Amino acid sequence: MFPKDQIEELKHCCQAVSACQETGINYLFLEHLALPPECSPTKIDALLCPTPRDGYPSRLFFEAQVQSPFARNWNFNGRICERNWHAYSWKTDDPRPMRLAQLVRLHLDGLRRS
Amino acid sequence: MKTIVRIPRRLLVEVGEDLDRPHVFARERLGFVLARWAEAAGELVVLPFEYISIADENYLDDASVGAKMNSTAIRAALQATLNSRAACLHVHAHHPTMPFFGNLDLVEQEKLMPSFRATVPNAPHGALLLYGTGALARLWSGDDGRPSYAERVTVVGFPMRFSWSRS
Amino acid sequence: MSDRFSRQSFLGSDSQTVIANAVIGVVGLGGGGSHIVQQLAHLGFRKFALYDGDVVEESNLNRLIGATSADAAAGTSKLEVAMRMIRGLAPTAQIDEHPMRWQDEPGPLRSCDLVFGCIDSFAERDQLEATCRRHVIPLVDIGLDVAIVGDDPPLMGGQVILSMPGEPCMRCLGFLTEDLLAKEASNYGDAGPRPQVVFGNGLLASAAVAIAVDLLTDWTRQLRRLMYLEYRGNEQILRPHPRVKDKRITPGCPHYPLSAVGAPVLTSL
Repeated sequence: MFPKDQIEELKHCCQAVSACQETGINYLFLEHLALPPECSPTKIDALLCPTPRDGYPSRLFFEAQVQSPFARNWNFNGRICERNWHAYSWKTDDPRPMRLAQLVRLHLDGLRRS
Repeated sequence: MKTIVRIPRRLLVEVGEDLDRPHVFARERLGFVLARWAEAAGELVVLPFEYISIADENYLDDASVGAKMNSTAIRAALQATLNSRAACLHVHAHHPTMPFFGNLDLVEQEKLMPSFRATVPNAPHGALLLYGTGALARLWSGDDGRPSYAERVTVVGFPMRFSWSRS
Repeated sequence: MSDRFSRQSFLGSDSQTVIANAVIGVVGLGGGGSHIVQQLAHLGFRKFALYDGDVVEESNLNRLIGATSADAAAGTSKLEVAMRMIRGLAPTAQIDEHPMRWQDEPGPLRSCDLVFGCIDSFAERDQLEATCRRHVIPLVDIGLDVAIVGDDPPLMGGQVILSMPGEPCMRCLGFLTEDLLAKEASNYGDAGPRPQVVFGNGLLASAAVAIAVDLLTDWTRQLRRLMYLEYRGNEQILRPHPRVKDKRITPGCPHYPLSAVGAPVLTSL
């Protein structure tokens, strides 16, 4: 379902990658995802939804709100795949032509620039 | 810890239709259901999700019992249990006037369960009995290796049915 | 059967046993949930898991059953109001109380035999349905909405949906859609106070309780299919939603297959 080489790329920015599904949506669980400098914590569990959801072309959910240099509009605080997640409002370009690691970087950009 | 079994009616119908089929020599049919489980508030909830039918050729011709399966049937159930990392419940049906496991059922369960417990340890394997509109479950869910009866078996569908354990 | 329930003995010879032993979750104890809790207590339900993190405010008193002016002044929790109503009828009722969002303590919900969802947002409905499906629990969802557009009379509508594991879900029924969830997410924090009124809440809550009691006791021996009722408040009509007869809605549910029960399966990549 997810290209193997892209999963290997993802593993450079987190400890482990696994897949799960809910309401027909495929998610990638990124264990201990490394966050940009000046963020607290420095690593966090995250859930990548690489397809459209909640009106966003893709979304990155975090196990807790992240402290970053720029205040973000954390507009999701809910439950996915039996775990609570938080996400800030951040629209990426169409994720389809992107590699998964690139998509994660684009989402994390929201924590390093205004 | 108390245990609840919650079985979707859609699955129960599939089980019932299979168990009701006549066999060339066996007087009843047997099967297995795979189940996942979750901890609730001080309770263990067991959630059957898939039925494993036993092929006709995997019954043994033994007139001393209603039905007996061969080792191929057991291995198939063990394989399915391992592949899905699920719990496995042996299932059969009784007439509504016999809403309990017979002595032979209990003995066979004791023989069968160690293999399942070795295949996926810590899973609440066990046995499910269907009788009329009711059901009874005996599960090996604790660390002590001893079985206990589910406090209730709930059939979830139109309509709901509740069977509370008498034990 | 005790004299208290003699007038509802038509529900069936063992109905009070089922009612007294069934564990009922109520998520949201506001305008809809407070009606539901009150009716459940009268019916003889005795085991509850209740969730609401809000306190009573003056603006709730137009519809919050059991709440008083003193509660609004004191900032009594909605949970406390619900518990007071139940204990007034059943002092020994077992109430698993959770003054918080259900997502912050979902464990007790898994023990429930049936859950009432009395929540405002579509996203929360989506999440609650996902949890109920995972744990094979029927969910009865209610909601009331009043739309005020221009100079026309306000439009009151609502729904009661019985979401049954293994059967079509709120997505299958077209009640929850990606467009709706997206629209709600884009308005996050801007919703403002939503118009609500006691008679609309009460009607939908009564219908929801009626469906739940029928499901648990099977007293009509007729409830054999999905329930999706639409409320047309301006016309005083509560009727099966036309989508119930939509031939494209087939038995089963592609969003929540039975194989997806229990904790999510994480496939290591």
